[in-house]
Amino acid sequence: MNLSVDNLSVSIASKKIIEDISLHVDQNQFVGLIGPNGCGKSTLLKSVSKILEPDAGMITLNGNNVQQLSNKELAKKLGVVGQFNKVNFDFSVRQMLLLGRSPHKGLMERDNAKDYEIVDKVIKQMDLGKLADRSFLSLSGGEKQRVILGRTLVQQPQFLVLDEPTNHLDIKHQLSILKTVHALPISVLAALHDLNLATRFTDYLYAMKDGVIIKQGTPDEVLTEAVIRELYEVECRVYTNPILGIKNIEFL
Amino acid sequence: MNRISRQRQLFYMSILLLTFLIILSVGIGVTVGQVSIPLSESFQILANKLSGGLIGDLDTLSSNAYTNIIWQIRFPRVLLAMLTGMGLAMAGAVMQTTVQNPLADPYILGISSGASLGATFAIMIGFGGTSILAQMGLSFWAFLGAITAAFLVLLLSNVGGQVNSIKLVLSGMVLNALFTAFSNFIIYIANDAEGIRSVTFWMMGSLAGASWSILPLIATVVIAGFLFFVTQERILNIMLLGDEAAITLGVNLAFYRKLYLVVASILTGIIVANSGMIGFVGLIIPHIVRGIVGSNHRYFLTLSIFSGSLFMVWSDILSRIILPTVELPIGILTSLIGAPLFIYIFVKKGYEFGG
Repeated sequence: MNLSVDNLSVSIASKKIIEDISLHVDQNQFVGLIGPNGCGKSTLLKSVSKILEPDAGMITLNGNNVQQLSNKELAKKLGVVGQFNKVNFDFSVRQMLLLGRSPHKGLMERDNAKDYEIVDKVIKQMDLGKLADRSFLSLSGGEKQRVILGRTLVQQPQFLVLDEPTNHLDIKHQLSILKTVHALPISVLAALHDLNLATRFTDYLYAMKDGVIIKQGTPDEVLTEAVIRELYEVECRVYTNPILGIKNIEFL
Repeated sequence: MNRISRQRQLFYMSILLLTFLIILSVGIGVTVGQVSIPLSESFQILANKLSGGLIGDLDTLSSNAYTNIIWQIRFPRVLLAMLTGMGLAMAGAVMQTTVQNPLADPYILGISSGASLGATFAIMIGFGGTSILAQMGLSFWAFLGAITAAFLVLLLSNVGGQVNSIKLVLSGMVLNALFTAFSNFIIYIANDAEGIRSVTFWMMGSLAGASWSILPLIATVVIAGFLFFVTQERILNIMLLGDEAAITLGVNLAFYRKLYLVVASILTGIIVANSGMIGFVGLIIPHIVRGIVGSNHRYFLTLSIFSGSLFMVWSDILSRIILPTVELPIGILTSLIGAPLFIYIFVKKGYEFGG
């Protein structure tokens, strides 16, 4: 499934957050979005997930205008892991995962054996076995994050939107989540903070600052000392990591 | 899979058990009161009346007055208690989910103060008295006040963008304060001791006005509300995840939130108009049930409704017998029983608004 964003502008409370942005995600491509806090990454991702309504521009998923799809149709195709998942009332982890089947269900339709099977598969895939019968509210931030990603996988989307999916995660789960997502045969658009993880897992990168894209290309093209200085106002050295043979960034 | 089918079994067993307890309690409910009627004769009368005279024989009763006491006074009252409990527990559960706030109760949208203002207006300004017309007037004004308040709260929380839970709760509080001020103003200006007593009594809730004539309306509304909300269990579950997560799961909450609030407000308005302000049931029953079965609405909502019904029947029974000569307002009883129950769940189960 491919995604095209054309000349998108979005404001929140009449303040322009992103202006005239265009980007593209190809079939099965893992595209990363980097940039400092407040540069508009989340706003862009929320517009793609139809949480925010754009002022101008168009977002199309496989040629279908996202604004014209119903929420339910979109949810069958597009899975989203957002940054904040505050819940006041409790569910067990398994129930939480089952809610991921909702877009595929009719009003009165109950969960059936196939739904449970999909949930069991995701529990294995995401290493959630130990958590499955615990209550969601009792989990740590990182565990919650993994459950939410699990729920999104239960949705069986063909396109995945991730807003800083490795936040709160320990190193083991940072790597395992990105590896899992990378191995899925679906397209991914993800905002990432860790530039070394971005070089390792993404196929293409967009660098954003102050609501506009300042650089795009393969990770090697985008993550240069000059671009990083412009983005984050920090000095760094980019070198080839002898162990993995990919570019690494060391901040000075 | 196994765990979930076991949960389902437990759920159906609980429903069966609650149904049995409710039927038993209805039987007990009609025997107690100023005139004590043996349990067996109570059931005999109920069976005879409910079957249209086919089962049992009323000639064997020890007193002819029993049939009237049970069928005309006590049975409608116990039924009203059942329906009131069902409705308040359901409205409370739905309100807590809809505004995503564990402190919500059926009166959160200003319904209590709106209904009180309506009732105060009726009692103090024109409709006070004991005639049947005056009683109907009171219910009508209370309902009008309740619905007006709920409507204003919805309108106010719609200003400046989408309705969200914080705006709803705040608008409810503000209008509560405003309406309470109006009520107090009327009470103060009217300076009518008998009226004040009536208002106070009404605010504490009472099922004494029960009669066959008011039951059909309440029964229709409560049962229609129940049938509606059980079809909404999936959306209610998703509602607990918040607006953004709900959209990513394909549900736009703004529409459903308004719909549920309107249905729950009408439900509460009708109940309040007939039974006055019965506090605590709508707040505490959903919490107690959630503490036991968790937040999944498939189990939680239905069990709340059945438990609310049972709870109310017993509150009513106790309100009639706890003092030998007078009847206690039922609102006092619901809090007296409800609070310790809640504390028990809170302490014993380590309940934190989930399960």
